[in-house]
Amino acid sequence: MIPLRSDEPDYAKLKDAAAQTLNRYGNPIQLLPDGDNGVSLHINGDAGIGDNPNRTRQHAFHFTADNCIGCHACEAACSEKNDLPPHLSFRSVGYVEGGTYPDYTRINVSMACNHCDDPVCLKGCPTRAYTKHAEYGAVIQDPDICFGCGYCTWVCPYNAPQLDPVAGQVEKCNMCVDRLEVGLKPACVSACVGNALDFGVVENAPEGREQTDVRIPGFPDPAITKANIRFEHRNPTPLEVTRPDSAPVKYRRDTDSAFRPVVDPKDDPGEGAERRWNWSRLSSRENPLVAFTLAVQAGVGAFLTTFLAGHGAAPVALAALVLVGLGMAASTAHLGKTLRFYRGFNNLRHSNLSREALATVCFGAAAGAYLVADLAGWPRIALGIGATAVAAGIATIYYMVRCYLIPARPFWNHWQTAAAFVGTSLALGGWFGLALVPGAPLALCWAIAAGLALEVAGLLGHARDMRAAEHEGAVSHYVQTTTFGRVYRLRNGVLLANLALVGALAVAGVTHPAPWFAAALLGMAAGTAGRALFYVVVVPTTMPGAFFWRNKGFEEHAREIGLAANPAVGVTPTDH
Amino acid sequence: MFAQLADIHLPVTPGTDLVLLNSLCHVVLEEGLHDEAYVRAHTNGFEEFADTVAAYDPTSAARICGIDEDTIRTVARLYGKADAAMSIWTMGINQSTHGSDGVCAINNLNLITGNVGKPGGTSLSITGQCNAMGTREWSSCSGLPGYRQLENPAHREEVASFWNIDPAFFPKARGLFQTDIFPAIETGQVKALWVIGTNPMTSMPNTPRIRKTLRKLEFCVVQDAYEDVETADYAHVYLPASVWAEKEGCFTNTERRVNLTRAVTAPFADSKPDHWIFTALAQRWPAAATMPWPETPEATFEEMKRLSKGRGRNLDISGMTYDAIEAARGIQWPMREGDDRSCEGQAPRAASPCEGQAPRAPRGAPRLYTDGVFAFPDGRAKLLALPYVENNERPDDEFPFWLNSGRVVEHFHTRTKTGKVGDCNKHSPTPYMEMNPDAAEALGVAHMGYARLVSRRGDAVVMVQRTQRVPNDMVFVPFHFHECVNRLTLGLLDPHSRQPAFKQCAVRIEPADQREAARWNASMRTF
Repeated sequence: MIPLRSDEPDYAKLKDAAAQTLNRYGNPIQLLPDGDNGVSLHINGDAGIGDNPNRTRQHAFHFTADNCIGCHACEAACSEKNDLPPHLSFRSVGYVEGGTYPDYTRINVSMACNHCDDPVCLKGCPTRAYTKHAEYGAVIQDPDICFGCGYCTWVCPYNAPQLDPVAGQVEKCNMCVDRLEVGLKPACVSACVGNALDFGVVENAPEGREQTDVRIPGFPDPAITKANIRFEHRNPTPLEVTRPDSAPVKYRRDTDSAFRPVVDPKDDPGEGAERRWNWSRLSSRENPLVAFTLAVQAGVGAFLTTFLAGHGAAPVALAALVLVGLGMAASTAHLGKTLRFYRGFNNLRHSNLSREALATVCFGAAAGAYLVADLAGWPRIALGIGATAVAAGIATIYYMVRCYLIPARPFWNHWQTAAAFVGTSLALGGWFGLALVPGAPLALCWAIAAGLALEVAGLLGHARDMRAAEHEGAVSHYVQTTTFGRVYRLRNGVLLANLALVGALAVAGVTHPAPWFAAALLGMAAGTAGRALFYVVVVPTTMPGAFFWRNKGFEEHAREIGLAANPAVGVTPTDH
Repeated sequence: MFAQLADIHLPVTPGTDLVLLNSLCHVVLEEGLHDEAYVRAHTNGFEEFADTVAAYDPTSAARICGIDEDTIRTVARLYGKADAAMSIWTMGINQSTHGSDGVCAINNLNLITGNVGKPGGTSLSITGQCNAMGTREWSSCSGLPGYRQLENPAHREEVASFWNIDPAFFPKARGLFQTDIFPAIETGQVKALWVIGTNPMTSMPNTPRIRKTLRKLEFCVVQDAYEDVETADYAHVYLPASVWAEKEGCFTNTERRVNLTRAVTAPFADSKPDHWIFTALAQRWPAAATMPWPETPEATFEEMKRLSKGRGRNLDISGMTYDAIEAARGIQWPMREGDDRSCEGQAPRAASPCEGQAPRAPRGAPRLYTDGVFAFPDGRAKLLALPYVENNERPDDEFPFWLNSGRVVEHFHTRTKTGKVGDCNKHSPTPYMEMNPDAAEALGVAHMGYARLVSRRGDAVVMVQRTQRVPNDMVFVPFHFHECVNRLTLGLLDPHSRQPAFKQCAVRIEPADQREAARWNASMRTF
């Protein structure tokens, strides 16, 4: 246990005299049966159990936005306690502002991990680096287990897990459980000079506070994860608040006083509604995932379409095996710690990512086995193995889709993701089949046409829904149609033209390879551009940043002009 | 941030605080809200003061200070009728050609409303550094220790006999103010300069002028903890000094609380504590032979204690020791030798040092002037007549924007320290200006783009943050960055304090070549 100073200030001490039974989500606050005081958290090897009387109750931060002056003391205290490099912060203060001078309002929001009832990070993490403890309800992540895939940073709606591109791992707020064990509030809370940040058993309002609200401008829907954060915010708010960072999002007050995200064009002469190419910005740290998804979808699609069309053959199985192998290699390259790739299967119970990885490996193994059986001339065995590969392939695409259906990324959380993945599998797979199976059936041509049609339908539905959406998906779509507007239009044009071409070829029964080869090239180009767009335009539901810190636009600028070479700028020279 | 949390925000026209304060006093007197008994018993100069503020009726004042007459009246009534009222200010008042007048006008207001020396009522200047008060107490502003003056023969005599030197050693008047040294270099009156822990190349207004000035020096010594402090470019000798955690010593903060730091680590490389450097240098002068030279800061503190004793002296620290200061986490002077200020075993009672305090350790004196006796021979405070004179640059057609400079929380002064601490620096790693979105829109200046500011002195390139925090005829630029806002500032000097008026000058805004501005910005941020 950490030693208590003799003159520890009173404001740093936890003071929860009583607790309610259920939290606002209907879950019990007491996390273990009466009399069970939990187990040791083994903090720094200490086997002791703290004497905190509320040890087995869910705790939460409480933030009074009216009192926050944006002094950054909480962030500094956190960074000091956790010995973080400048580019990393478990807690960040961002802000939104509204009104016109001098009737101006700035609302600062200090946000760390919300130690949710339903920690989507824990469920998403393929390595089981996360634990939801019955002690304090803390969600604690172990960087020694993490392999740095960053998936938890996608699924968390609050930007709590921090991917460190330098260390190649994720770290996050640990609730300062070492301080809780001896009755002290977390370091950030104890450092707050404005009496804005507080901490205690969830649903308890701190001394002098009335509200335990879960809404504040810019804060995502707490129902996604049943977040354990409570707010007090009694000052009047403007009708609309904007963000100082580059994200083209602002928040508009609804009739029920909730703030909803809408597109903020930022009135920027450089950006604005102008459609631009920005080819170079299509490249991102997710490039390996563009390769992974396209290759695996092509491999799975090639095997499935040919096998189901009754033309299963060794060359296709070999191609599928190679494609899946390349895809897996690309996804491993995406990891912060590639040598720990084997940990990707640790969380089959909860993680779609683990399931996707396992299904992909099974598919690859089955394709390989099919290849052997086919070459060995065992048609019955090959048939059985082929059926297995089909099942594994379907599972692969299914879990791949599920990985992206996450509420924290509304742009992806749409049936278009499924349409795109299945459509790509059919189209790319069909082309591989045509190229590799001599005398390929017309069915493969129709599979390609169906795949392209499915993609077009998905994009149409997606565009319609995103335009009308009241979430960050609308913002992503705005970025897609402005910053990347020309790429987006070109891709759409190529896709439609290709659909027309493929449809015409299929109807006419043309099997000459030349036009199909041209269509395949067009399809791959459009598919790659589309997939790159899919990754770069997504706007998560995260909290607003500040003008420099947590401003994606500034981070990009700092990298571009070389400012990021200075560690004190807080931006890493590369983001992967 | 405080302005938007305020019940009443007075967005006063830059440099006209004095007009607003005079007008508040005008309304207080006009409506009889002043504490007549207090004024009669404890102040001087009421008639002349009242005559002066009579000219500052809210209708006339509103035209100058930009606060409408109704609001002036409301605020004056609020202040005048309050049981207790407090004025807290910082550089917004001080860094003006009327800085001293503004501070005295705040004191006028608190004196006529009786808000001095009582719970909840005071004038409180928040200073910019932890030891801004301590340096003034102990003669860093060209005086003698303990608020003694070179101009006072008795003071010269007293200190000379204490230090065992000839009183004739002391000059008969104080030397130049820091800001007057630079013009004196220009005229050739000063040829050598010893710069200690300050960075005029970044912090002084009108950088182009200061650069020429420093180049003119025949000999320049820079004593600083950071070798890359920009002023060191003009130094003939650099003396590496320790930072606070490498040395021990006391400092006094704005509420007269004397506090202590102890060294937690050895000085870096060949750097030395300032105390060591001063002593080592001083001992090379002949006059030093007869003087005592305490070897440690604590021994020097013992010397200061003896110098602080004397009848009528408020700055009395003779009852303090390093250990007592540490135990109490700071003690407020006066704390006289033999004072029993320990709260141990005493019931906390109103107006005692133990008021509201946990009984623990010596506390010193939390409140001055409770008896209405002030440090003048007649014991009375002076009400000062302070007419406003318009003498500063204002926006015009050529330079249509007010330029306001100031601090941001993450940086200390000229970033020699905080520019290297990532957890501070990352919150504003490059120079920027806050600009009203409507004004920015009209000029086509993008959020997060670069713009060029031009004044009559020079230019600066900054990143633009569009925000409604500033009015549409004003921009705000933090002063921490080298070759930035002080290339633009005029900085006329206050006639009394000689502080530069950093916070008011006129600029125009021009578009900048974005690529070139970015390249320049990156090249300037080498630490």
